[in-house]
Amino acid sequence: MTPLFAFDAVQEAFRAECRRFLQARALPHIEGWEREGRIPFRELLKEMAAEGLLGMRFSGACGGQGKDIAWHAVLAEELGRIPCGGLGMGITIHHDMVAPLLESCGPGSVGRQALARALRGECLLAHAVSEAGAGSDLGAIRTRLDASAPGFRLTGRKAFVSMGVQADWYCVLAQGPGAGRFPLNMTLALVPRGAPGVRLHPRLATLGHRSMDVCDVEFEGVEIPEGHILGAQGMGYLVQAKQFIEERIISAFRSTATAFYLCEASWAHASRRTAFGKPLAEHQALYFRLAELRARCLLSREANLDALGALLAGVNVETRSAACKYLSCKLVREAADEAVQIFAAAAYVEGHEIERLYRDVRLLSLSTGSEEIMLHTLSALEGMA
Amino acid sequence: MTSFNSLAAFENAWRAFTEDFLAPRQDAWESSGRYPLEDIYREMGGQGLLRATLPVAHGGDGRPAAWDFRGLEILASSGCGAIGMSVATHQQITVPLMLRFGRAAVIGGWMRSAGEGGAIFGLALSEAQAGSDLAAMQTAYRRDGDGFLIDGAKRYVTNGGSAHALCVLARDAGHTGSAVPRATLFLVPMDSPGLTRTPLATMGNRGITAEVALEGVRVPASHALGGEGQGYFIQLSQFPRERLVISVRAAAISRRQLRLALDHCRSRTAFGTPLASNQALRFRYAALSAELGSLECLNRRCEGMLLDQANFTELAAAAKWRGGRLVRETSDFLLQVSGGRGYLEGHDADRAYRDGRAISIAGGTDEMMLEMIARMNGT
Repeated sequence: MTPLFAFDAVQEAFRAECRRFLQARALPHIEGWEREGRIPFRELLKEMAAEGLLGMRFSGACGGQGKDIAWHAVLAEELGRIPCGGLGMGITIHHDMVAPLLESCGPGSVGRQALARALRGECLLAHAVSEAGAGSDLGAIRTRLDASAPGFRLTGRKAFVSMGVQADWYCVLAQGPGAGRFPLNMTLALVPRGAPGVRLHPRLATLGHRSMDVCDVEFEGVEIPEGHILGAQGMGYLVQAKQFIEERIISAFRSTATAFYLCEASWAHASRRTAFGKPLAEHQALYFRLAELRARCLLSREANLDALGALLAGVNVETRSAACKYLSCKLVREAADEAVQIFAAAAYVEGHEIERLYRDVRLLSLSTGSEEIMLHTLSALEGMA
Repeated sequence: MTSFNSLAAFENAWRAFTEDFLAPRQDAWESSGRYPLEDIYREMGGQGLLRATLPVAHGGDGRPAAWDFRGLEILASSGCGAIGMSVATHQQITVPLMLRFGRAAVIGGWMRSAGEGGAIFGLALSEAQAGSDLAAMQTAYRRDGDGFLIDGAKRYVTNGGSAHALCVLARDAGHTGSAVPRATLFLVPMDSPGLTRTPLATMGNRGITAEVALEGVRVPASHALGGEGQGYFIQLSQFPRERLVISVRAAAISRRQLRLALDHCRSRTAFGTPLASNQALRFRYAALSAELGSLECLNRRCEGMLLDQANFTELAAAAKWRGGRLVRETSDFLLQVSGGRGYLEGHDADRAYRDGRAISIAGGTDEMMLEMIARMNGT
């Protein structure tokens, strides 16, 4: 039996760097970001790059550090411990969803140039996949990419684009060119925000992630040069699906870390706060629930580490990825609910950290594959179909 | 004597034992309510399954504990909960305890015999009025010349009916006044005068449990494991390993329930389609499978820490808690998809449902696991 993956001492030292940076540069600003509805991602990413906290998994030729994805998992855990879902989500989109898609582009290509700049924090990458009528069901995407010599033309409307207002590039999944059969009928294109025909709809007010600038982005016959196609024409869905598998593991690390954070915060509060003559933490019904939560955090983290270890070993991780994403996002929303119960009315007041997390973490069960899609994938992979 | 050159060969021998020896006889034993443990252990011993991990000094091959964990998993996959529980108690919980705390002169003969399947052991802790709360136990010992006399009664003793020796926890009769009694763990040969055993009929894991009464049972001083007064310390020190053993079994049992459920859902048709095409069943299956995957990971982590002699007290409690819950959930799922047939006595689902229920109780209840986790985290 091979030992389960564990981070090594160098990676743990890197964790301390991430924590120090985020506590100094993110923690004090969360309330302001939430009020303004915007996180200054480019500025933050520039500082992270300067401190060596970006691009760990990317090769030197791409402007990265030539390490591996385990380092991103460490960063994801530390982002998960910052009580601001928007921050972690934004950096994951930029660094773990779109950037890996750019890495597959050829040397000297537009994608590679964008990647090198993105890893220096000079440009911000957003992902435009969902549509009003196509969420989990990507085959229902209606945004079209059509041949229009010498390149292509993009038409359609993408919904709920995180960082949609401030991003420099949108990575767009569209149908076409041509009329192939799903899943070989989709293409990923890189579209600059300033291109003629790109129109931003008004910012959306959302349940959580209020520090995130979310909007619909419309593409009105935007001209797309051939060099802006990611991967091959018609392969967009498959490239995207493969990237989701890795990104879900990173998101699982972030979710589980937030669950640990909520569990620890709840326990700390329960130890301080007294009711009926003793601390809440000594009321059995409460501490049993917290103990169950803690046990589930421990289980979830081992599932994440196992998926990461398998990914690094080059094993097919489809099952592990779906399982750890499912477990972690379900866990974190239950952890948030438990935290609200322990903190009680205080956590019901807007602006309280637990109130914010309660709203923020709910997105994790919806985005990049809903809980239902994870269960669907798992049962199909195991032959229960 | 049978030796195995590789873990793979050892695992194959376990598979052969479960398929060729256990499987054809299991139903008859189950309905008779009694497993002939002596014959079964002789068979396992003869096939070399019981000596691989014993130290060389005790006639074994000194293989790593991981070998026995894999054996336990194979045994659990066979669906014979009674034998799984019996072997786990003997091989994985009691033998390691005897090896660690017993004097060579006392345990030497027992160990050699155990390797051949000629000696069966068990651990006698619980009493009618003392389960999780061991401090409430009434079984007591007093000095008697160069030995001790033990009086009391132990309940729910796995292997109690067939064991050749039991490790019996008793309190010092002369030590009163403190909340926690002074306790000693004695190695008690079952042919000692004054000792009687009565089989207990149980809901599941039938035919391996007994009640043991001790009336003035005399043991020499050398039989006090780890020395007199060390009983609680020994118990505490072996908890993480015991819980891991149970959790490893729980995961393997759950794996089996899900496999049987999956096979049934694919082959059984209702309303014109296989059961497996029902989304509600698929999602329930997938959720259980994901939970089980995480338990298997946590068990692997604990096993690695056991090997490295690291402290995994909290992780073991979490694993044991999850294992107990998960066996109940997967057994319930298996019963549900099996429908009316699964409710018939003797059906896999019926037995699994009854056998699996013990996991949340034995070796520390779910509630004790949560108490333990809570105390390690600020309660």
